[in-house]
Amino acid sequence: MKTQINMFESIAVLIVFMFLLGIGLVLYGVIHKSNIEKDISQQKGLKTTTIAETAFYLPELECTFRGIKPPGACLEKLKIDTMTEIKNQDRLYNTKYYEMFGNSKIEIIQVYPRESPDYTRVIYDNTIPGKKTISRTPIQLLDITKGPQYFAFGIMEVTTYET
Amino acid sequence: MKAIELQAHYIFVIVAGVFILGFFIAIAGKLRSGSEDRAAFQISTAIKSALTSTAQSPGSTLNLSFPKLMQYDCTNACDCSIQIGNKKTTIKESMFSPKEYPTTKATLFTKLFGTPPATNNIYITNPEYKYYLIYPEGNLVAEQIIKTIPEAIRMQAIPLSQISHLKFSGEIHSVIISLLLANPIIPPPEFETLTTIHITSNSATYKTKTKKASTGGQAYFQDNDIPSILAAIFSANENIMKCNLRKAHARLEQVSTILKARTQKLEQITTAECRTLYVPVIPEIDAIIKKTQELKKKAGETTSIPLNNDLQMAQDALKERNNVITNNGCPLVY
Repeated sequence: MKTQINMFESIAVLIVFMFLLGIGLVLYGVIHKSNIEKDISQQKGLKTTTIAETAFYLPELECTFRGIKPPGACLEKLKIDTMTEIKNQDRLYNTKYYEMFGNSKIEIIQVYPRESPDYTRVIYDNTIPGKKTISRTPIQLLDITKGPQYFAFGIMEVTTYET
Repeated sequence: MKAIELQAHYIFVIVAGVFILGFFIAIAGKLRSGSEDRAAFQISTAIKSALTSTAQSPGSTLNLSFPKLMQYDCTNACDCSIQIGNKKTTIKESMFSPKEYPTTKATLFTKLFGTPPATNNIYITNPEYKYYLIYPEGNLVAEQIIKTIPEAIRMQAIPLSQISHLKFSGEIHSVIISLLLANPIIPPPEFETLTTIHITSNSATYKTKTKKASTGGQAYFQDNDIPSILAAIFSANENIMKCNLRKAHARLEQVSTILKARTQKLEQITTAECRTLYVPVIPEIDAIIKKTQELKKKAGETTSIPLNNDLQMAQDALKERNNVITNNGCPLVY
């Protein structure tokens, strides 16, 4: 009888210990999960920034200058229009740029001076249903049809999608 | 009886203890592998971002440090990726690199590729790789290649007449390049782990010898094309060279297509004087697009490849046109 009581005592201690351990692990899991979610969100942000950076420096979009290039990201409106037209005509366009831009949408919006109708061009569109991360970056827009130094102010909006 | 009870008690405690210890070891193992995966993922993403940023600045040289040893390779389907730990990350840039990194350091430099400028080729190597470049004296292409390689790269340029200066310097991996020589140089026996590359005006033949195995292969490129020769020097094998040259030619085709359409628009919207200057540009860009489409498919293949330098001629013609357009104050082609 005494032995049985001792055994039950040991088992009870073990059960309580396991219970406390379980609670500790659950708490650790919750904290760990929130850290991982934070990391994932940072990585998504980094991915969106990387895509924006790639788009800024695309030779197909970059402003062409004589002499010294002014600071900041500058895209040429004529090149943007050309790329948009080719995007609408070429069925393989998304395939050609997929490695660079993945599942994302890149939109250029002129903010100042405002045009009528609004100047908005989508240069890449490969959206999928899922969570999205948006990044907006101010850019200069060079309009060579109005002069070699005619600049407008715009925004490049990059939206990346994850399932 | 009491003794048996005591023994049973102790056995019970030990068994319970083993279970608890096993439980903790399993948890620790899982957490460790999860942390390693996470670290490898973060490192790969950071390196990918660093490569993307570096690829935007032509002519830059950079020293990198990795926390773990890196490997780089391209499959036969030209899926090129870096591997750090268990994590593989696909690299979209044209990157010419050794396969294995014996230390965690790397030196990287970029060079603009194409006319119109299409992409920046990334050449990356490890300080434990030493390049011995044996070349014919007075050869302008060879001298231009040597001037192009930054001083940070561990390289020794040896004219053929001074071949006796070819001596092992203690590096982990030697790369002996017979640059534009009729016959490849036979390396002295003191070189144990090495890659020999025999580069002619339009081909590169690789032979790699390590303690484990020997491998080899050959790839072709356009005649006396400096970016292709640089690619041959810094690639571990013909597959890496071929796959990344294809990427570079594919980018050149994409950029040329956009610039052609833009030039056609410029023809319509500019002044009459400028319009006449744009007319001959279109056929030149067309020639570049056509040649890059051929080279994109055939770059590095061992089957027949155009041995002439049509692409170089078309690019030179476009460069000249662009200069004329610049001098006349018209919007540039590129």
